[in-house]
Formats: sequence, C-alpha cells, structure tokens
Amino acid sequence: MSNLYQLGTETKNRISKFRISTGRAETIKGLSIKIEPKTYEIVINEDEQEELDDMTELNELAEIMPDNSPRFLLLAYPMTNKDGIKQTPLVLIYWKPSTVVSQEWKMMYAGALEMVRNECGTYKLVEVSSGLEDDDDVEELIEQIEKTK
Amino acid sequence: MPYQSVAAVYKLVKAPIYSHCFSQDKSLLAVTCKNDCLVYRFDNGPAPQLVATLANHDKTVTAVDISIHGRILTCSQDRNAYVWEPLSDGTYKPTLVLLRINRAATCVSWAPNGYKFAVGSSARIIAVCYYEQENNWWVSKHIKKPIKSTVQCLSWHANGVLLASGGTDGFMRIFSGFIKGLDNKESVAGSPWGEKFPFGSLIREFYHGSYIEDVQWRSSVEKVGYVSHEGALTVVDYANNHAKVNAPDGLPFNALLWINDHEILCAGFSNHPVLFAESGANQWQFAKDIDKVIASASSPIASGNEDLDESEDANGNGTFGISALRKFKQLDLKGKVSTDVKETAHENTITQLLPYAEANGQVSKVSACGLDGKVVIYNI
Repeated sequence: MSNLYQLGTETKNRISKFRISTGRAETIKGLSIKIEPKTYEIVINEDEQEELDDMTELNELAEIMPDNSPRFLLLAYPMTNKDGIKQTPLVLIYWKPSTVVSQEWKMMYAGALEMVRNECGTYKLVEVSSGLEDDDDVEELIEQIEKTK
Repeated sequence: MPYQSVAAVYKLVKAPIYSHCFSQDKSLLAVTCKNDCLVYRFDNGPAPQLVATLANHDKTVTAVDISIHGRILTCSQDRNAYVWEPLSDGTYKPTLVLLRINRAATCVSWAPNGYKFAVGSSARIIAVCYYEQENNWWVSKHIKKPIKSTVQCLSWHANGVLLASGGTDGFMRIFSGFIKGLDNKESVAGSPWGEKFPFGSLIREFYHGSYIEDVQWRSSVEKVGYVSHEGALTVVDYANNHAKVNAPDGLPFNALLWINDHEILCAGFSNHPVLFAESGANQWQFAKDIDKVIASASSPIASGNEDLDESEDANGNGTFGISALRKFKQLDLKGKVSTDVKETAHENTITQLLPYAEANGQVSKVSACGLDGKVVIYNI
C-alpha cells in the first residue's frame, strides 16, 4: 500500500462525524474531500464545504464543485426505498468532470480513491464525469444513487 | 469636403471573407480566408501589408476576433478554436482550445475584459472558454439547454456576463456566462435582466421564427438588436418591448451594428449598409441607405431609334452631354446606354460589420467584409 497520500486524524474525525450526523438527515448533505496538490495530503475542502452546507438539490453541485479539478464527495442522500422505509445512505461520489485538464491530478485522485473509500466506509461509489452540465446528467446521477439501495 | 459614403476599399483576397477584425488601435486587420487567417498591417502606405498567415486549421475558418490585449481567436469548421498570442518578433504562437464539440464552430466573441470568450457551434452548444492559470490551458464550459439548433451569432454585454445568442432554431436567447473566479457579482448587481446569474442559465428568450443571423447588445440602454433571415431588424429590451422593421429592398441582413443609442446599421444581401433610426418610443424605421447605387434608368438593349430617343430623355442627366460616337460605341459594346458604371463598393454580400472609428458612443466609420474578398470602410 502506498504511503504517498497522508490522511490526517483530523480528516478522519471529520469523516466519521459526518457519517454519524447524517444518519437521520432530511436533506442532502455533502462532505467535500480534496487532495492538496503539493503535499498529497487528503483534507476537507473548507470553501466548498460552506457552499455544500447550503445545498438543497443535487443540481446545485454543478455550481459548487470545481470544473478543473477532481474531488471526492461523501454524500448522504435521504430517500424512501420501495418498502417505504426512510433511509439516508452514504454514497461516495468521485467527481471527475471532463473539463479537468491536468492528467497529473487525475492520476493523483485515482490513486487515492481506494484509501478514501476505505476511510469513508461506503458501499457505493458513483463516478461523475459529466460535470453535471445537463439536467439529464443530474437525473442519471440520482438514478445511480438510488439503484438497489 | 463633401460626404463620401465610402472611405476606403481594400481588395485583399480572391475568396470570401466570412469574418474580419481590427486590432484595438486599428493597425492590424485579421481576415478569414479559406482554411487560414491572414493578418495585415496598415502602415500609412497605399495598401495593407500581409504580415502573418495563421494556418493551423484543417477546414474553413468561420470566424475571427481580436481581444483588447491583442490575442487573435479563430474558429473553424474543423471543430477547433485557436488562441494566437502575438510574440515580440511579429509572429503568433497558437494554443489549441479544446472545445469538446462534435460539429463545426460558427462564431466567436471575446468578452470585453479579454480573459474569456464564447464560441457558437453547429453542435447546439455555446462553449464559454477561460484560461486556467494553474494548468496553462483554456477550459471550455458548455451551455446546452435549451438550444435546439446551430448557434449563428453571439454578443457579450458590456458587463461580461450576459451573452446574447441567435441561431437557426428561430430563438434569440440571453444566457449567463458567469465564470466563478473570473467574474464578480458586482458587475451584474442591479441589472434589469435578473437577480441571479448562475453559469449557463437562460435569462431571457425571444421566439422569432426565422433564422437569427446576427445579434448585438447596446449595453448603455439595455437593449438587444438582431437581424433575421426573413429580412427584418428587431430590437428588444428587458421589459420585453419589441420593435420590428423590415429591410427596404426585402433582402435579408447578415450583420448589424449599433451606431449610437438610437441608430442601427445593417448590411447583408443588398451589398450596401442600411441605416435604421428609432423614431419614437419603441418604434424603429428606415433612415437611409449608405453607398446605394441609384439606378440611373439605364435602358436595356435599344432596338429601334424611337426607344433610344425616349431613353435619352428619361435618363436626364445620365446621357446628357455624352457624344454620339461614344453612345453608339457603348450600345454596341454593352447593349445598353449608361454613362455611369457606378456600383456599390461591395460587389457581393456583406458578411460582417464592425465599428472602425468611434467617439462618445457614436460610431463615425464602419468596416465591412464580404463574400467578394474586400474590406470596405464606410463613413456614417
């Protein structure tokens, strides 16, 4: 296992706090995780986090998320499954829009994917490569999140 | 000095010029010519000198624009756009812009601040591109909804956020081209067109019906003018007031230009510019033709002497004073008697109008390029 990426305890705490606090959430909640380009440290992105806290719909993601850099987004998506039970499953969104130009960054995030996935403890991973430019893309994303869960 | 409608005519190439642009100080002129973009310099000599040929495109170059910083932007039917950076030795360094479109690019427009630009395409997409400092690359963001067909023309508002577009789906639409990190909210604060301007959102749309050929903002009065394929000029404003006027000779216009807050110049298939003026609240009407040839009643082939006599009288000052020898020689040569071979400066359709000299919001000279390979400067 590579030691290239550093996952600090602070970040781990934030993640576990997020997982616990959103268990019964009514609205969509997101946690923005990014990798510092120089130090390869995995941190929570505070600027985007503020905007994410205000987010109510998935189509706002296109506005908040950067379109030149990948991100990991831990999403708590409240939904009612077919038995009528309200759930708020955690989904890890690998935000990788086609407007990212840096191959280096793409590889950097791809390498850290497994590590972040383990830390977040989520079963589901959805890759978003459209940048959510279209409403169709947002619907597709919703479908993927709701599938079998 | 008597008013001359045509200030200068530059016959540049033997191919149609679909688009042209002058640099900020009017010393350089870039024109599209087949698959290349040619750059000419005006040195006070009789004719402009060709200083650079920008040849990276594989197909016809459809549009060219120069930013306030002197960067040349070209787009082509090969689905690409290049930004040409001027180097100190007079050459240009091209940078490819990945537009991510799968059809031809049709039109380009630099934003007023010169740091982003918009490209219209046949792929039903407007690509708004800005420079990514960290990656040394131009990134393009797409505006797709609800465009249903080719985008033919684009125009930025002076605030650099509102983008008007027209195309072959018959709609003139105003979008937001707000780029986070490049534009700031203050530039659109208090705009009468809306409150929030997230990127790609449709601010307003106006259904016209026929193809929209060209569109232009008049930021000072918050109005947009556009010309369409059925031969009309339409002016709309933020209160959805709508004024329409038809072309005097019925031929559609390809280009329009605001001369001042109350006058618009249009040009197209009639080979000469036409001026329209605002005649009242929300009323526009035809003002005058510029460089139009007044048909001197030259008659067709005169067979009998009687016809000749009549036409001679009808011509009035046309054939008055012409010698008999010359008259018959002309008749023999051309089949008609006409002394003045005056024609419009442009021999073929005008494709684009740009302001050449402007002061205090009033344009005094206009440059026009056309399918005849000429660039003509008109006096207004």
